[in-house]
Amino acid sequence: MMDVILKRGINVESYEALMDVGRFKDEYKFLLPVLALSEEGGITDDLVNTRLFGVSEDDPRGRRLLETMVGYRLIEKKGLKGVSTNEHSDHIGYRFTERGQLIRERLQQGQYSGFHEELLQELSRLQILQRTTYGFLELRVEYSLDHLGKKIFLSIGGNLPELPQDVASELVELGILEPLRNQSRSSATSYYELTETGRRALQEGQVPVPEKGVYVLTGTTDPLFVEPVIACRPKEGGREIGQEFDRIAQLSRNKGKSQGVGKKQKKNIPVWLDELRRATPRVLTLAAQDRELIQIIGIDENINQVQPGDKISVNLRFSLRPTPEMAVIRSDRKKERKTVVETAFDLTLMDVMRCLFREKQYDFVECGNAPALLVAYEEVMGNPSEINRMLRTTTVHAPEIQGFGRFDDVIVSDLPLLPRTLEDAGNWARDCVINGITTYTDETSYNQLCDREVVRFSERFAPDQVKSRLPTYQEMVTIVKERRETDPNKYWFATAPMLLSFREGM
Amino acid sequence: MTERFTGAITTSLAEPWQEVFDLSTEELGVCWVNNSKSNGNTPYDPETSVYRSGEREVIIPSKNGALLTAIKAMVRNAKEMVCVSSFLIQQSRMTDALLEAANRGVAVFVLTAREDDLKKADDDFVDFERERIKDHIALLDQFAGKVLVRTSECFHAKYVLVDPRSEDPSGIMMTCNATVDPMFGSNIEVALTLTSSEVRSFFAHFLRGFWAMADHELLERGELRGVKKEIPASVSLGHLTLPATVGDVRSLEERVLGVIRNATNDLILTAWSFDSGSVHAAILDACRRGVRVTVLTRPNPRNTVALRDCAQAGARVFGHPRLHAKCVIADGHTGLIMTANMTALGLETGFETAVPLEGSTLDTLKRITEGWRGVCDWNLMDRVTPAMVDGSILQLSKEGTSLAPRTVSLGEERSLTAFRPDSCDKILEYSVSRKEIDRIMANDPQKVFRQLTLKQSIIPPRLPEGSKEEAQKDVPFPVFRKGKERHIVVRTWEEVRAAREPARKLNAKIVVGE
Repeated sequence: MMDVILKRGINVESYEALMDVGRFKDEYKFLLPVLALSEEGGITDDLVNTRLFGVSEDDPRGRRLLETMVGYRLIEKKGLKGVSTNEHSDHIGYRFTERGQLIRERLQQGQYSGFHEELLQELSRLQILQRTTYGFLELRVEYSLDHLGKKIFLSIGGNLPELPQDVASELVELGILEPLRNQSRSSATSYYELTETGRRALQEGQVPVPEKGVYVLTGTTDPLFVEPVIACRPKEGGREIGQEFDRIAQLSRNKGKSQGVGKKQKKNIPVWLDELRRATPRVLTLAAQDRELIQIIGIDENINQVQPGDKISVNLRFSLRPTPEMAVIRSDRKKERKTVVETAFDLTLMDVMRCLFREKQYDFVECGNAPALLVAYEEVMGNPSEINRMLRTTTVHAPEIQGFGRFDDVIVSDLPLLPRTLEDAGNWARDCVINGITTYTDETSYNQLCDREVVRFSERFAPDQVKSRLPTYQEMVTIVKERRETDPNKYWFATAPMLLSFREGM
Repeated sequence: MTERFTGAITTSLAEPWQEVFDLSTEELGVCWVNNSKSNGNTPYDPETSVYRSGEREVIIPSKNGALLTAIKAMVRNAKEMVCVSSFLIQQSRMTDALLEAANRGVAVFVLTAREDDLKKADDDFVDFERERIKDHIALLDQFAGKVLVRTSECFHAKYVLVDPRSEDPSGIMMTCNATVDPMFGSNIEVALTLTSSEVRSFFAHFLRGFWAMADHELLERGELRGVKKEIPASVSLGHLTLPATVGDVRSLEERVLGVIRNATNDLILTAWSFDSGSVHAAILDACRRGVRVTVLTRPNPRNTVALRDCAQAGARVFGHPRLHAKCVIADGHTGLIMTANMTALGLETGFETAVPLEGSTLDTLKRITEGWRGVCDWNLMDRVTPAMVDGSILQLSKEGTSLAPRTVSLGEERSLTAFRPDSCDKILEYSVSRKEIDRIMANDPQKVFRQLTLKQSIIPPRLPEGSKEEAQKDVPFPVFRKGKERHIVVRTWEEVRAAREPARKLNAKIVVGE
């Protein structure tokens, strides 16, 4: 199995600022049932009262709790007294049926094996699933969520995206979706929807706990990262620093957020930080912090650049899977931690191989689902390992992938090799059969050996075509006799069965 | 009855007392007896070492190197291949010839034993050649890469085959290993060139050893690797037309037993080893039929135990410490030379071959065996006594596990320490104990005595100094006392006899006076 791991160190910058940050913690889990109401017809104060508090519909506690959660930016108010957002558009809302819910859960866990093949093919036809085949001797099929599939099945709670009518109808037909019951039409209660933070909280099973303090944000402009902010940690040193920042922040607020100061600050901070500040509140998955989820609620304008605490590097691993796997490695003086994260790297393994071996980029062909390199016999003839295994392991120095920059020297292991021409295949197969004489071989077993060897070239040439170019048994014996001095074992393996046998007529 | 002692005591004891023991009829049990003047290891030195007989030669390995010369000439003519089987192999002109053949493109195959096989091998296979093991291992390393060596603990057959698949094959079988000394005549051995049809049968034998019995092979120097006993589909093992022991085939045993059972007058068997198996039973049966059986072998405990009842039954069993040749001849008209000993290891489970002989070749072999008999000085006999031996013996221990070498002494004198009794009457009854004979023989185990004379001085007791005479009315001799001891003083043996009764009454000792 070919395996390529591209590695490089990542340039990072760190900034400290007084920030409002929501850390996803267990303490506020009691709010999860409220968020979960979004999957049961919507978040309303009367449902909170009746279902969660067990009091009357018009009890004020329900609304108070929901207003608090609005303050936490977990939900936002969308309507009052039965005025549903759906009423103002032609869009028909859908939700998962019970079956659909089960399917969704299994797809989220990546479990495709239990589904009926017809259903998987149907979802592939609707471009909800992506169907990938592997292998060339034994065909293996794998499914993954396609873009539309991710939108539908990885959606938070019951908030399905707007679907093309034909897709929605097909999913209703398949018993996965059903049109939303319009409960709010006759209701006069307040109606809330999940914010992005609320959706992530429900998804993660943890609710962000708002904190205020001095945090160090670490970011990168490396194109491999989907999200430039890769770490956000409370600054070491305690509350004093936080109080100092509080004082500065207070001063700043008292001055009424001077435009001048803001502009001056912007000049000193990188684009990624500026964009983050403008986009708050925002939930981030921190690549260099064990994929911790964090909500950045607000960032003060006073920002100081600091020395990054850790060294960051990445391992981008390519295998036969459709997408590469990126591991972020954070190391300080004591230890190293590795986290697998999403990457913006969107090239296929074939693309990568063509980049790594730029001068041979036109010599790569698909072999099964893997790239294989076409080579002339002369390129491999002196290399028994490449001849016999039909694989090459080589080092590429400082490879550059267009759009993603340079990487460290990389060892490409077990790159499949194929003969370029039929003549190459014939010569190559001849070496393979001669090398394959590792035990006592008579004419019968020699022919079996030839049959086994030519099959290895079948990705490129018909076995019969290759076999016709192999030496006959007698020719093989002559070859190994000529090489007796250099390879006595083969001489014995080929000649002993021939000589140490009673001849007819003896 | 005459008295042993008379007259004056001191005069009669002036010379040591002497007794003569006749041991000539003492039974010594089962022994190899050598009545010749030789040491029992007389070299076999034939007038000629190569006997031509029809289309073949019978070769006696001897100092002139005739066997090596014959093998070397054969190997030099090899065009396609040479097949060698020998339990032990040592660098020699033969192995040099094999390497030369390999260098000119001839395929050389060797069946032999590996170090572990040799170390645990039965004495049947190595014995006095154990010191050759180091040379054997060193040679195998020289062979690596040039000669294909396969090993098994049972590859005991000894032969060289040249181009056995060709129209003009040649070969030689021998009873000795391919080691230098035996090939130069240190042992009693024989070798025989093979006819074309015999070579083919030997080749079939070799193929079975190579493909079906070998368990290791030497491809790289110093690395014997295990081999699968898989025979390639196209390989034909051919037909064994000659008697052999290989795998399930026991035709050699059948043939040997057939020759023995069909003997009517005269039977000769020679081998390095015998056991109490089927051949032993057949020999006893032949003796019972009145066949004159002659066995030539080496005198060792195992052969002695196996053959003693054959000797008892009338077989003439002769020994020579270097007799290694193996053959059977019956009535002078049927027989065979073989590589097998007359044991289960050779005839039931091993890897052995043979060539049946008749006509002039058999006559030649018979003449040769007569020559071997001439140097076999040891004769296995039961119930041996010193009277039967006029030289040396190898006496089988009671446990049957060792042979003790002993020489026969016709007559010897030994002196014993002096006898000092406290009363003269004790001398009258004294004689040398038989235990003294046993002690002398135990102290001198390498000797067997026909007659032994023992001498011993006798010192009579005398009156202690300071004794005082005391009056005893009824005693006709002077009586003395010292402390509680009483002594009666006499001068002659007659007085001793007369003083016995008073001495008993007085509880006195009889002593010699001044």
